[in-house]
Amino acid sequence: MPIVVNIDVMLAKRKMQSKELAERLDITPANLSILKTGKAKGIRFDTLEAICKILECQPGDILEYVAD
Amino acid sequence: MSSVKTLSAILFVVTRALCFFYAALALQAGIALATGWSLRLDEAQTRFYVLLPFTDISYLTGIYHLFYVIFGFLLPMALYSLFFGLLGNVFRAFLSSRLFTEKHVRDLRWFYRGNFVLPATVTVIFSLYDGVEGEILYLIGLHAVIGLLAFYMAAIYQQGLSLQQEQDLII
Repeated sequence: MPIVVNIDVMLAKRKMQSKELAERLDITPANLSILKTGKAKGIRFDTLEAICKILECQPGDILEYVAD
Repeated sequence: MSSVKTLSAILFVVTRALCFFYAALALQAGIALATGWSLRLDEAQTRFYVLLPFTDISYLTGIYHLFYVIFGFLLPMALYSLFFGLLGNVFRAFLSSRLFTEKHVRDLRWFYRGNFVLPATVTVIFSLYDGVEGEILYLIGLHAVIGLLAFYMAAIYQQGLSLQQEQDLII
């Protein structure tokens, strides 16, 4: 998938665990894993907004385009 | 949606009751014919009468010939039990939180395959023994139409399932 979701990098910077982020986002750890591993088909704006708010970052810090 | 769920619950209960009813009929008649218990034959031994258990009241009758007993009497009853059981599964789908699931698609597939194949097959086999009345052909046609509706429902469910699986991957 050309769009890479770099949540792990931001989690490490904010010293937060995936489980805590999933709880604060109100999504299951499984769904967060789907997002992190590139299996997601898309991300909702409100999910992206919540991630940016919790991790104090910009969408560009989370999303990266990598050509195939 | 609540009216759909209410109606589905009622129809599920009714079809399940009919399923057990036909199964009980087939079972009791089968035991009667196999063992002679609760069974009476006419003087010429050409006709049988299945009696209500522990009574002298006959409630089922047919021609006392093995081929007829199996293919014209017991098998249709058993298959109608199966029909109502499968139909109940279709209605039960609407009681679930998710309509489009692999299981519900499978239930519809079993239902339409049964409606397409079984009535015609049993009738063809029975026709080897005796002629088939016109009403039976209408019944086969009706089951084919029901099967066709279920076939298209299964196609819609499969599409819905694909869309739902894709939607589930949008976080």
